Amino acid sequence: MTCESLVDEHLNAVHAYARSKLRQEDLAKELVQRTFLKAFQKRSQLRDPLAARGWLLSILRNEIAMEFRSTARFEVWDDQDFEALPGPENEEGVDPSLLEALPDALGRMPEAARNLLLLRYQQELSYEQIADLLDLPLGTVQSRLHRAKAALKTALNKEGLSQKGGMS
Amino acid sequence: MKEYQSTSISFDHQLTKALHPGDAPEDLRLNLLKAAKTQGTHRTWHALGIAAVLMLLLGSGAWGWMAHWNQREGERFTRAALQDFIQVQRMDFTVDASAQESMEKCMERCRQWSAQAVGFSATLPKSLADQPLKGGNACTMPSCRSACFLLQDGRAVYVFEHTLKGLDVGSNKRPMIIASGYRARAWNEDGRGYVLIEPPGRWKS
Repeated sequence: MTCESLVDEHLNAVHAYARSKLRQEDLAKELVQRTFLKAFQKRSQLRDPLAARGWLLSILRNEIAMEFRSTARFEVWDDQDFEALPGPENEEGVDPSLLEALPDALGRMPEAARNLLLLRYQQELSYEQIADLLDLPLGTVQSRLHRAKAALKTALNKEGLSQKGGMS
Repeated sequence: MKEYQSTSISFDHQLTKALHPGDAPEDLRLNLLKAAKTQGTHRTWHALGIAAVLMLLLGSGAWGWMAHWNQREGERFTRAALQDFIQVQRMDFTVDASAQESMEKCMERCRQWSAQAVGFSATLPKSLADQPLKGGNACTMPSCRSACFLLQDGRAVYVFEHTLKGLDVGSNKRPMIIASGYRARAWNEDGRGYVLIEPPGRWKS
C-alpha cells in the first residue's frame, strides 16, 4: 500500500475521528499529520491493507495519549462511565430531524462511550477491529456499544422532547 | 425479533450516515500528499543507496579476487610448465647436433619456427643463449601462447608471449617450485615470461 493511497483512502476518516476526539481543529490537524508521517515510516509493518484504518487509528490514539500526557490533560475513563449510562430502552430509529442534535448529544456522552460510537459508526470498524484497537474482549465491546447506542438515542429523544416543549 | 433487527439496523444506518466523515482540510491533504511523495523518493534513494553499496562490495570483492588471481599468475604458469614438461615428451622441431650451427643461426631458426608454430617469435633468454639446443615444441597453456625449448643438458625453457604477473626482479635467482626432484624458476625479460625447468640431477646453480 503506497503512502498516497493511505492518504486518499483514510485521511477523511482519521481526521474526522481526531476532530471528534479533540474538538480543536488545529490540534486535530497536527496530530493527524504526525499520525500519517509515522505511518509512512512504518508502512512496512502494515501487512493487511484491510486493517489500515485500525492501524492508523491506533497510531493516532498513541499520538493523542502522548499529547495529553505532555500537557497533563489526559482523561481516564472506566467502567463506571458505562454503568452511569441509561439502560437500553428499544432499538427503533429516531426521528430524522433529531439527528441535527447528534453532535451535541455525542459531545455530552462520556468519553469512552463516545469513542466506541465513533469507532463503530464514523470509522465503520467491525466489533473485532474495535476489540483489537481498544484491547478489550469482544463481548465487552458489544455490550458497551449496545449501551452507548441506547444512551445516545435516549439523549436524542430527550433533546427532541425539550425542543417540542420549548416550542409549545 | 425480526422487527427488533430491522429497527436496530435502521438506527445504525442513521448513525452511520449522520457521522459519515466529511472532507479533511485541503491544506492537510496537500501537505500529506507532498510528504508521501517525498517519502517515496526517500525510499527510492534508500534502495538505490543500498544497491550502490552492494555493487561496491561486489565490485571490490571481484577486484580483490582478480588482483589475487593476477598476483599468482607467475606461480600458476610455472606450475603448468612443470606439469607440461613431466607429461609431454615430444619435440615439434629438432636441431641437428652434427650440423653445429652457429648460435645466431640457431636462434634465428627458433624465431622462425616459433613464429610459425606458436604465433609469436620466441628465443632463449640471454642467460641461456649460449646453451646448445636440442629442439622444441609448442605448448598449450590457458590464456597465453608459449613455446618450450629443450636444451642438450636436459633442461627446458618455457617462453611465454607476455610477461607473467606476480614475479619480482630477483625471481630468476631463486626457485619458484621444487617438487619430486624437479626445480622450476620463473622471471620476466624483454617483454616475455620465462620458466626454466631443471629435472632431477640436472640442477645448475
